[in-house]
Amino acid sequence: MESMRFIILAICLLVGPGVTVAQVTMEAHLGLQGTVRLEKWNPVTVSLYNTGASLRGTLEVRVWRGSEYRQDLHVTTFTRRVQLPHRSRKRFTFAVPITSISQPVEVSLRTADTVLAQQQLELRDALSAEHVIVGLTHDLSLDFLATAFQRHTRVAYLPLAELPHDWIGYDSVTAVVIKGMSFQAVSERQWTALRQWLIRGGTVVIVADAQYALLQEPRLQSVLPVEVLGLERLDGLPALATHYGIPLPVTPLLAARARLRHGEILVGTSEAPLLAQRTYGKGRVVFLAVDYAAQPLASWQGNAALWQDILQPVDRIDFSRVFAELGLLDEAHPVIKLLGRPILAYPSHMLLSGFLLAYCGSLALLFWWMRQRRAKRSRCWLYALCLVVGFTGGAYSLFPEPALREPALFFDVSSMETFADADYTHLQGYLGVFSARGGQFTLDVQHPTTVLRHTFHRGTGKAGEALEMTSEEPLAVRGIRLAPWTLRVFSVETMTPAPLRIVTQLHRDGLTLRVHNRSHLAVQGMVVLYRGRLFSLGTLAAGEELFEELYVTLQPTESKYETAWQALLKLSPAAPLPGAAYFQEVLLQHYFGEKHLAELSATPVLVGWMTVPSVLQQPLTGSPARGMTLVISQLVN
Amino acid sequence: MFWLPFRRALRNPVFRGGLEEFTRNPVRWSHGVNYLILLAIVLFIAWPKEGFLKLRDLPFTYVPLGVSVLGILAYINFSQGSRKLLGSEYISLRDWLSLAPLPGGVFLRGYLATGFLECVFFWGLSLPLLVLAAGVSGESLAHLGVGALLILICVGSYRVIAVTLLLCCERDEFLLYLLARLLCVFFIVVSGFVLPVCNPVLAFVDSSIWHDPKRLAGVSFLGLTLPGGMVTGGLHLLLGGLFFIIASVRVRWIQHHAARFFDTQKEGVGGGA
Repeated sequence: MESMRFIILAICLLVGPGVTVAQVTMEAHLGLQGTVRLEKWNPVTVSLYNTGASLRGTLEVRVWRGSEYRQDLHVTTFTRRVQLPHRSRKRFTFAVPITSISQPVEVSLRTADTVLAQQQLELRDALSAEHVIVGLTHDLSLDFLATAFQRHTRVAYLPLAELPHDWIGYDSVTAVVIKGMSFQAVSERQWTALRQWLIRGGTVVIVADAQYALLQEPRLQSVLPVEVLGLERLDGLPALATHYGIPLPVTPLLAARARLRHGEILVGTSEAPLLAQRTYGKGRVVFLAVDYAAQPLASWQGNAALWQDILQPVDRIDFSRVFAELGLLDEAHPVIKLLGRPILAYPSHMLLSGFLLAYCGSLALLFWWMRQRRAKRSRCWLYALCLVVGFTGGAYSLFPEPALREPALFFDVSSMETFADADYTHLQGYLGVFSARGGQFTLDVQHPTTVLRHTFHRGTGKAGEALEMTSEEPLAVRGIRLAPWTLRVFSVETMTPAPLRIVTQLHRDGLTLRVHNRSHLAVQGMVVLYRGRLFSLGTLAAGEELFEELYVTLQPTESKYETAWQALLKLSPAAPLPGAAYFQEVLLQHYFGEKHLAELSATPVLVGWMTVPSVLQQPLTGSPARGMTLVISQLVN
Repeated sequence: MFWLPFRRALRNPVFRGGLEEFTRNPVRWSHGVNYLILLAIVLFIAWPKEGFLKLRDLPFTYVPLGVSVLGILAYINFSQGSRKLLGSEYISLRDWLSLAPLPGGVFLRGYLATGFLECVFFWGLSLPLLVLAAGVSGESLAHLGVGALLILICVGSYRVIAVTLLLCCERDEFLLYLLARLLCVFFIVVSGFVLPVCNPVLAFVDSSIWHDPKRLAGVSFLGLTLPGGMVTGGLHLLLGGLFFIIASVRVRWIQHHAARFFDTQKEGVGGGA
């Protein structure tokens, strides 16, 4: 008995280290320093510490989206594969959409069917705000902004190392204020993320202080509206006091000496700007030449007005577009609009009549022949059988609607907005998965930083309430369950390298244009729309460059009162597939609305087409994605 | 193995006679063409007019055509099945059965096989049209196969029921006429409201993309949930089997009574002599 115990103990000691159970400690945090913004994507940071055996698992973040009122409540699970060696500590950051505080965010780590660690993040406990301002400063001098606006504002001070690595990490941010920080230290990915968010419509405020040399560093210099030359001592800021009508004590202070390069002066002159701004893509970069935390500005009564001008915190929301994406305005959603066009190719009634006549006629002839000739019994049946089988085969192979025979139809209706001086483009995609017979489908997405804004379903059946999004490359939306005759629509957004490099020079009679196609696809049917006139540029093949002089003094061929989308549709390239012309029509209508050519005269715009989907990947097998991309470039910022 | 029942059927004298009669009778072929023309009109009307993908409405081609096929075939099988198919019109089936030197089982199997042949003939004629309709309605081949099989099972069982009625009520022509039509209306229409699981129309619709679990709920059996369509098909097979047994008993009863009658006659004739 004693020897048996000894043997068991020895086996346990020998085998013990090999069967150590994984022990993982999880710590998850929501938002930027606990601050979240509803209806936006917010970061979730998960720290894992494994004290047990090495493991491979899946880290999941589950969030509830949609609303019961709209009947589109669904759960989205963001997944990432993780590997945790023994005694390792790792940190993962997700960006997840938060639409309401009623359901918690669930974070879990699992291997196969076992949940190793789980944490619920209660959204009711999170600090919710309507504006989130990120301060990249050494001090906490932006706290006054929390009370400067009517809307609930919070300031989150982040160390540079914690800056998001993807543009979507900034989705909940209203503005980023930079003071006394060197951006040369941040990684290339973090810098690209900040610029992409800026191009997408963010606001960056760069404030000068005594360390003016930081503003001369290449990265900040490339986005600043001014060229910083040095420091100068000023006696008060009379220009500010005059501009806002609020007296400012006349005290000596230091200000950055700068010269305007791009954009416009808000306060000061172009040779001595105090407050300047420039557009960068859809976003703004604002330069403030004096330190807001130093006297006399720190205690100035006009600070609220000044920061109102700096941040311009007005949510420019296109409600009709948002309502359409939420599924509240069907007729305004591009995919639903597209399905309102006759995109299917049913065999005609004429063809059907021919088939039916041939079938009935053949049978009648056969029966007549049998009666006349008194053919053998077996031969009669054989002929009739052959006829039925032949016509059944013919009906199957010649008469189907090809699209309906596919397991699902994938639609990708995308518009790509590029901007002068910006090397990234804002891609907005409207995706649709329609299945006549139902099933489970996956959307493989081309760009790894694509975000899913809204989704809803239409049709006679129901769509599943669970979606899975991988948070690593290749990005995919999995588990799209559809009942027969159901459509699920997705609105997605991403930032991609700009396919066109455009240099424009305006002159009195028109403009000079140099376009370089840097993508691997041809841009077809390029048209410049300027002062209510259309200039056709044709196709620009991949890698090629085009140089054009356009004179607006020439007599236009189209009426100024023609709607822009109709005029542009006439100049669109021939659709590669039947039904593809409807994609062009829908995209143009969606982008330009019912505006007339005369209304679109302020800035020149280049319109072109890529006759392939830009968001969805073409599957290697199965149904191809049907799509087209409208390329829009604002030629002057 | 697969061909065994067919080979046995071909050796059956009643079936051989029925087959010969069917082949030589131009009226049946003419019925076939008329039936096809009727279906072609339904298909032509229900054919999609423009290439819109209407999200709120399911495609309206395959189901109307399938229901038409089902309705017409159900009526044909109830009405034709309850009429004498073979032999002289002046001799009733009962007399024919009493006089024919054939075992009852052989007669019944041959007679039913001839009826099934007619049923399969009409069903087969509608197949190309069903394929056409399925192609423009997004129906898969599996749906089409299940739907077509369901039609065949249901109308086949109606044939057995009608033949059983004929064997039981041949002398009461009006009752037979009425019963056959009432049963047809019950199965095709009334059962949809009072006993949905017996309704072939709902089962056919259930086997298409018009499937709606609320319309024809599945049935739990031995821990398995069987789809509504499958239950309907199974019930029709059971019904067909039950009526086949009734028909067999009736045939034996007729032959038994006929034999007794002839024996009595013989004895009477012998006693008189």
